[in-house]
Amino acid sequence: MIGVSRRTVLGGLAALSAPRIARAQAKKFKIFQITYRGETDVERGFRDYLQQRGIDVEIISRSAELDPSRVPSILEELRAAKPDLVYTWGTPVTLATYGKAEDPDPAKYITDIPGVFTMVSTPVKAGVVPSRASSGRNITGTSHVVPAEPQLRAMEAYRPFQRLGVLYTPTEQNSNAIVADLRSMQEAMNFKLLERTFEIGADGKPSAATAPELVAELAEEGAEWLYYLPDTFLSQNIEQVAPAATAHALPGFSAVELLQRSALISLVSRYYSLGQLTAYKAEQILVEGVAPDAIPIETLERFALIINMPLAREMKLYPPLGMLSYANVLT
Amino acid sequence: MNRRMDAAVLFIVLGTLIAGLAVISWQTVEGARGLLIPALDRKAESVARSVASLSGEAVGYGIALDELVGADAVLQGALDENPQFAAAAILSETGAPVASVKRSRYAAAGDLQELRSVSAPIVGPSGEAVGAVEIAMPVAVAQALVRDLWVDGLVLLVVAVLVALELTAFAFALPSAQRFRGLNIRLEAVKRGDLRGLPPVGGGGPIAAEIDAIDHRVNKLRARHVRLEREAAEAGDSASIERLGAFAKAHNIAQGSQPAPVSLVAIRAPVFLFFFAEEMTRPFLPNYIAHIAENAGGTSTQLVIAAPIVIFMAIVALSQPWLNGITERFGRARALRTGALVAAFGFGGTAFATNMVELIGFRTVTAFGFAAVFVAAQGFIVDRTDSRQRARGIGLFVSAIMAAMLCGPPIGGIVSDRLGENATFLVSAAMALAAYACAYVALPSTAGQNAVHGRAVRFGDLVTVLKRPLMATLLVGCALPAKMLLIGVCFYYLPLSLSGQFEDSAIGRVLMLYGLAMLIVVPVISAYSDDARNRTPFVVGGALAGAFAIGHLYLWPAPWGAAAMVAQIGIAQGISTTPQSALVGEIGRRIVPDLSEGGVYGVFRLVERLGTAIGPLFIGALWTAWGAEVALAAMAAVVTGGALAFAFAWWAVGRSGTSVEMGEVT
Repeated sequence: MIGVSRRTVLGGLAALSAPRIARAQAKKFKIFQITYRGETDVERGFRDYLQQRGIDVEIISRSAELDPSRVPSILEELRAAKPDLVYTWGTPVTLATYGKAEDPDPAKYITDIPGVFTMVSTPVKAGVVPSRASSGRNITGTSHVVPAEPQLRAMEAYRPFQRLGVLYTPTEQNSNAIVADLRSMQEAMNFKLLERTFEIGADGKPSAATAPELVAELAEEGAEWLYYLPDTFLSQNIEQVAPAATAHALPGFSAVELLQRSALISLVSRYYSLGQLTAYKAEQILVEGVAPDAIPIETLERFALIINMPLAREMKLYPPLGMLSYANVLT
Repeated sequence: MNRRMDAAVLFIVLGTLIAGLAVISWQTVEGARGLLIPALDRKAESVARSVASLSGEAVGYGIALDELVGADAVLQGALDENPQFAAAAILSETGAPVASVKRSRYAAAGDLQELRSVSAPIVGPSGEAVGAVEIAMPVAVAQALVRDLWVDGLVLLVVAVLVALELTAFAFALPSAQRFRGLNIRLEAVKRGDLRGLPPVGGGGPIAAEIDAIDHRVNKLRARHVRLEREAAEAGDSASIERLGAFAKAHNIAQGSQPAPVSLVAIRAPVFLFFFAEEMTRPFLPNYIAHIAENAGGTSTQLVIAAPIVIFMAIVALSQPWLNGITERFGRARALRTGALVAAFGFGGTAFATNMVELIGFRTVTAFGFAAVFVAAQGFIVDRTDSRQRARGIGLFVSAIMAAMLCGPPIGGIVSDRLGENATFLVSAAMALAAYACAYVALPSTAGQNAVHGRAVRFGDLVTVLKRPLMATLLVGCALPAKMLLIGVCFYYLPLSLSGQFEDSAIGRVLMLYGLAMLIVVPVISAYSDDARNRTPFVVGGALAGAFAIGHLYLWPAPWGAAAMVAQIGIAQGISTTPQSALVGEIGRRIVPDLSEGGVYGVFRLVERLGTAIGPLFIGALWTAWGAEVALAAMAAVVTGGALAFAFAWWAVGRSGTSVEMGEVT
């Protein structure tokens, strides 16, 4: 069984359930927020947490509108606003704001104001920080990726399997890393990984044209689950993939909230909870005066299991009865 | 006279206690009967409603009841969490089961309908009942719960009586009680016209003043009598001398003051409390070790679980020879108190141990404390008794330990069921501290008059004794396997093998039978085995009866087989222990005359105690390698083989001589 409660729960943060505390806060903290595609549930969780804790903040919010090249101009405005804390959403915005750990140019990036980042799936591999234990710089943050093992266990709990299909983009570093992880777990978790990659055209760009055939091949080889990685190209082209899988009675499993309507089940970090965890780190920096490099970079410890019930009915693949007591059901 | 007062006090104390406890037990069980059964029903209803609500949710999502996936697993989960439930089922609208699980031991009990059952409707999305969840309990479950309460009540009653006896004896040994008894003795004596000199009681306060006043008057009378006798003798008045002589005889005037007897009774309460502390851990200690071994991520083979027990026993066995000298120099009472404190620390630490290293460390500390108390208490008695009183003195000590062996396991089991195993170790620590307090209040720190300057057992003694076949077969063939059987099978194998199916209190009640059997059998056998001709048959017969007791495990269902085995081992060892001990002295005097009796007994105790360490090691190793059946069969073979070897040696070498020494337990 997976450690997921009916309501999304944050692990290890007893502080979340603490009642609102009236504190003698001398000044209002100013937080400058840069998002990738506007406000999400992460920001809502972030704001709600600070409010529940009675921390008075003024949040200035700007969006990169899906284009990280807009970030430098936002940073000019940020410097003028002189905030107490910077907040960034996603890997591209985070890198455009703080730069890489090995080469943070103070003229180009924000280095003198403490910062928190969120929604960075692989902060070490992306070069944001040298290790999760400590950033070694003026930032800390959170990651939304659910580790592979609880994901495999969730699939196993719903429908035991021996063959796991995966379709991913070979040019996406993140996807390659996750697939390598999966390969290494085959023996311990007693399954065989069946791999297919999106076709790469002469221009080096992936194509989804042959996706239905690739899915059919995986189904023929006996895949019992199709694993939807947090793969950007896959997410954009899920409509080429998911219906084909359903047609071959191959259930999909997703690790991101974005694909919960395409997959039969998803095990995800709730955006709202992630926002709360990020706010907890902001609180440590602003209120308790902890140095950002003394605060580890973390993921949530508990995840939400989401069952796509319309798809379950369509595929006649019902969840085990016991799972209903802790899963979130989409109807 | 004096005994009459003791008996009256005892009668009042025990009578009040038994009557009070009986009333409370009756009220508790009757009250529980009215609460338990409805509570069971409510619990079953609540579980049924919860499963029904989950099933209703599934139906609401469009999953028909006969399409449910994993419903058996949910029902099984309900059964696993509630050992009282016999079966659970999800029924369709027509009452046909779509999923059902039944506990295997009720599989033969027939359909669900034959059991007492409760049900909850499964409500569909539009509020109509589409099926039901049914939970069944055997009617016997409620009866068994009430029976268990009665048994617990009875155990508590027996233990309370034993504890009260110990505490009464302790109270009698306190100075204030001694003064009270002294006054009573004087009043009774004066009433009878008995004017003998009595030992001074000492102390202050109104009772002591009263005693002094009586003594003063009696002594004046006695002095006057002496003066009159002298005057009559000087005057040659034979008639007066005769009358004075007759008067002296009638009133015991000639009998002088006896020295005050040493109070050995005072040692009983601390010994009892201290052994109680250790005995409390018996029902769950092996299982406690197993949990810690598993939690620490290590392997938890039976051999690993045996390790802390083996180390504990080995320390107790091997440290005794040299602890005797140390406790003597340090002062027996002080050594006993220190040992109790050390053991209390060990118990407390064990409660908080998180891994095997800590556990073994704290058990080692406890073992040293345990050994110190054991040796110091025995030494305290030996120092204060001459050879005639010693058997009675050691008897006091042994009966205190037997009482603790009787009370400790069931109480430990009950405490651990209610408060948990860690908390029970803390209770043990508190008991050890109570033993410390008792010893502090009651034991004189002065050295005993009869200090026997015994020397520690040497390796040479071991060789001298064991190279005689008769001694070797008696010690290694009978005494050693007897302890292997007790610790290895009763205190290591049983708790571990029963722990999955039974509560600690039930295991404790099974183990209690050993102490109970010993307590009854030993005094009876001691009387019979005074006749030397009975000794060898008792020793051999007892050993064989102990070996055959293992068969009960395979003859009867648990826990009855285990109970029969423990009881039979208790009876068997009750039969053999006193004659065995006596034989050691006799044979020793005859065939190893160059070694003192103390030396022979030293070797005997050492060999015997090594058995307590070897027993769990032996069972654990064979269990790990070849399984429990092989381990138990091998143990039976060792006990049988040893007994037959001794019987053969006895038959071959012959016999003579008589003497009685008290047996010893643990």
